[in-house]
Amino acid sequence: MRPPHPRRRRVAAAALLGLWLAVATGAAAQGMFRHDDPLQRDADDIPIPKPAEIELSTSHDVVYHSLADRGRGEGVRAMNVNTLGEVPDSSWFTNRIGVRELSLEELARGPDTVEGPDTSGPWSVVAGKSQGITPGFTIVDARGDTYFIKFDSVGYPHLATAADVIGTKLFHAIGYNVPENYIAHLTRARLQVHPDARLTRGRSERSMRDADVDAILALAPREPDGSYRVVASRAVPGEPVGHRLFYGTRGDDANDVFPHEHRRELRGLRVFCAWLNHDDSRALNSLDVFVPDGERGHLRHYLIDFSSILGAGSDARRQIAPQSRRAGHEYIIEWAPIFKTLFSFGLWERPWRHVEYTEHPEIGRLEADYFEPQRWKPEYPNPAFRRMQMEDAFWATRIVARFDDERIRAAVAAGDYADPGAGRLLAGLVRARRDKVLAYYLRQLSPLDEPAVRGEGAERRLEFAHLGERHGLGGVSGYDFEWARFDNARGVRSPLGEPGFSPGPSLPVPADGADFLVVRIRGRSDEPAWRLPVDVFLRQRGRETSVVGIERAASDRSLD
Amino acid sequence: MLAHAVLAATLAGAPSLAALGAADDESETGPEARDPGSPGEPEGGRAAEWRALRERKAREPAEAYSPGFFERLMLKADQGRLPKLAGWNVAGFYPRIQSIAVGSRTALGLRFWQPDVAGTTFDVHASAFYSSAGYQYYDVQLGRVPHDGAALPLRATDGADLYEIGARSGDWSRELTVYGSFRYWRYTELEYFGSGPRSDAGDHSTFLAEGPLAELVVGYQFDPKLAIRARAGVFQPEVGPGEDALLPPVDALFDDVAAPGLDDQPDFITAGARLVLDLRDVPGAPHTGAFVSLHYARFDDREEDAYDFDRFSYDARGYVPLGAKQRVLALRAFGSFDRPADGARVPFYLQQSLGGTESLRGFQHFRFRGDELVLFQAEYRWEASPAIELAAFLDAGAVAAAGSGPDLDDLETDWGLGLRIKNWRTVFLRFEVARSSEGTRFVFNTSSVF
Repeated sequence: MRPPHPRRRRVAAAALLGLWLAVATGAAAQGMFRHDDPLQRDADDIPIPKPAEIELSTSHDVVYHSLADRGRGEGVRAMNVNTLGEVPDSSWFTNRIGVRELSLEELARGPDTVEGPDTSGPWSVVAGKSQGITPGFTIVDARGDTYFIKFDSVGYPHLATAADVIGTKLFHAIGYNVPENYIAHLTRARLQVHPDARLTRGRSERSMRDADVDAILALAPREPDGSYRVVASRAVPGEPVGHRLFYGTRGDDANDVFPHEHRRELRGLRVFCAWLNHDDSRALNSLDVFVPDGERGHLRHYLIDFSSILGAGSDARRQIAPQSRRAGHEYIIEWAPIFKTLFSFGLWERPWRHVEYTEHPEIGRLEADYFEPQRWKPEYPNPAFRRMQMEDAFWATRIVARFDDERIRAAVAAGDYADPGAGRLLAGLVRARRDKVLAYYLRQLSPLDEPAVRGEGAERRLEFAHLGERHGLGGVSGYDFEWARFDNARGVRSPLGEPGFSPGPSLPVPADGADFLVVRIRGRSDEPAWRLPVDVFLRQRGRETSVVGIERAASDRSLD
Repeated sequence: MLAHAVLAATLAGAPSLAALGAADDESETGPEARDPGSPGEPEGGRAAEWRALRERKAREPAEAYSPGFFERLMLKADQGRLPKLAGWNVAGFYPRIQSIAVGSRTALGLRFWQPDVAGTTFDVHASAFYSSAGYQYYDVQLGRVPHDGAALPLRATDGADLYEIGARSGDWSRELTVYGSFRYWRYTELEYFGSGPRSDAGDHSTFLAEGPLAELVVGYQFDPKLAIRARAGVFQPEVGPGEDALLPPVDALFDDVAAPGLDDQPDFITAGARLVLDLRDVPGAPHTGAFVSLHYARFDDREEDAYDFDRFSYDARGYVPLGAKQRVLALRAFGSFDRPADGARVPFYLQQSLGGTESLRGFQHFRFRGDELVLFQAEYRWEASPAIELAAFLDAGAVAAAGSGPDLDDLETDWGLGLRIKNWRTVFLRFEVARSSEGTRFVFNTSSVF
């Protein structure tokens, strides 16, 4: 959104203060935990009229975000989280691998609901684009489904198509909405130009001819059998209404009440993008779709186009090619290195220029030795990424941790590489980058996770896992803990018994009739951050005791 | 607004270590302490609260995303919907802003460009420009014109031969080019300081040059790196007093002896050929490689043979990365040698020159004219980013009369610093400051120097 006029800012600030007082007072009266905490689903699908389309300029987006931070609010914690620090299911995100075992079959299937375009009949070409970064066309298959057809670049067979499909599987497993992307093989004979097909060429549009299809195919690499390998991206259900921004909210979407820079799944996306080197994670690679329900409906938010992730990127000609050496290390416009180079007469060199890569034509350019997840950068500043705090990063990291070697191999296998060595190489790099993500972020706070009350009555125990230990990052010799009653309405705790120590991740739950209990847990470890406290809140309703909240202290909440 | 209310609610309602820590000793601080009598299980859920926020927003007037002026402008540019004023070479009929000659200042014009008419390889190009300095330029080209996709090289000038090969990209496949070209120009303030190495900066005069040139151009691209172009035509120049009110006209300072051809301008038959070998990695913004051009032209006086002459020239450029591609040593040697026929002279308005944005940058445009000249340029270029390049440069050049050969004692030199805004393919803007024995000059240009 456009920054408001200064006078409007002042009025807004005054109104904000009033609202803050009103809401804060109201919230206090409701208590820290509500009866439905921890919220598992954010019902952001109340019926709304169809919002206007948001069209973004690629070049403006780069400049706009490079020159200033467009988000609002510094040091603000993510707002769309439940009391366990999780992101409830919503039109933005659906918890998948983070909350349950995701079978290899589920992961490999991803969002797919069919087996790809129907090959039992011809594909009707209904639209084409002969220029631009990704020349391609739109087809309707024999089933009547619409697909967008994208090609690899000459010289880099399988690079873009494999990256696109692997990215689809991984981001879907993580929990984002993604389109169904299929690797398919087509022959010229299968394509028939629809009489009403239109070809877009720059600013002009005209009827599409057979020769236009030939011209587009002439730019694509062919398989040894003469076919063309493509990604067929199935049109998502609903009516596209453009992109979503990484800041602010849609003013014409009543469901969109959390500023995007304060949404945990958008902040935490930084961790996933770093892991998978998705430096092209810009607003333009998102899609909002209006899902109608009668005359009204709601939006569903997608991430699209993963053809420039992992080792694939776009070259200076803006064609898919091995990833730029700059990718992930420096913004397109970043002043400090510019001035360093400028005033050193070019003698200062960017360190990433000397990074060695094991390049492969199907994989592109990816490495895991120089990679530092906390320093990773997208192509240009992102207001949500910039506001990622350690607790956002932890949320994302615990999801990354759920991708074991087997699941990574399964996702990479979806890339259908011609060279088996390519798949092995990529899987190894993705594993190594995952390990670096875990090694950094799990050392920034106490990574206690999966708290659960087990047993009944006096035998009840609070059990949990230590993700740092689980992933071999260090040892914990035991846990100091202090129980307290927790007055939910007042936010006050009263000590309950003496502090205790447990050699393992299992603590006795005191027998007490309070509605809420809280235990502060500190690990004994050489890792400084693992000694930071974690508070786990329990709610007791009759005979049922459940974990209702968790709070972790971090060494430094903000990364930037 | 509402979003910030949500923000406040979250800060107040969600548990935090800060809040909890403050309550460790049962001291009651913060907003939570204001309601000591609340029951343990609060009424109303978080889902209901979030829903209430949405319902409240739904009652407010919907405010669709509204891009600002620059975003709308850049979106149109991304989509190719902006009028093609400068820099773009696309098919169609459109206005254009550009420079048309050294010293022309900004020119406004119209261009029509239609490649591959009706699915053939026949192209049509026409343009007309008028500049703020009163310069005029008109041209028409018909035939198989060299072009890169839908783009047309600068103009069908002699110098454009240099760039035609450089303008190609991956889909350049027009091996044979044959086209007719008609050009007419009227340049009103061309500068003349006299001919030879001893010219005086104080003898600063201007002249007007105009005339039509009709040519037939034939070219062949042997290879993506190697091309030859030949052209022949008729040229009917006219010269007169310059129209700059602040500088004297050429005939006030020079006569026909000091400015050959001042009194009478014959028609010429012209013919020539150029061989271009381009081994640069990226022709418009090279980091490595080399470029060589060999050129021959014949100017044949159709009336009295008083101004018959041949011209031989070479242009050699090399680009050497210094340890990394972000540091490049760029070198250029250019030489031009006119050989007038016995008893003939080279007209002053056709003499090659040094000085200005492309050669001796510390001197005025056309500062040194001569029948023969050499130019040496060296630049140390370093990229601060892919879009920003800096350069330290040194230029040296000399002119001489026909047959005498430039004397190294006559070398004029300058040095300076430059800043270029570019992309991977070309330089968009070039700012330079150059220092010479005749002062400091600032250069602003929209193309690479070499």
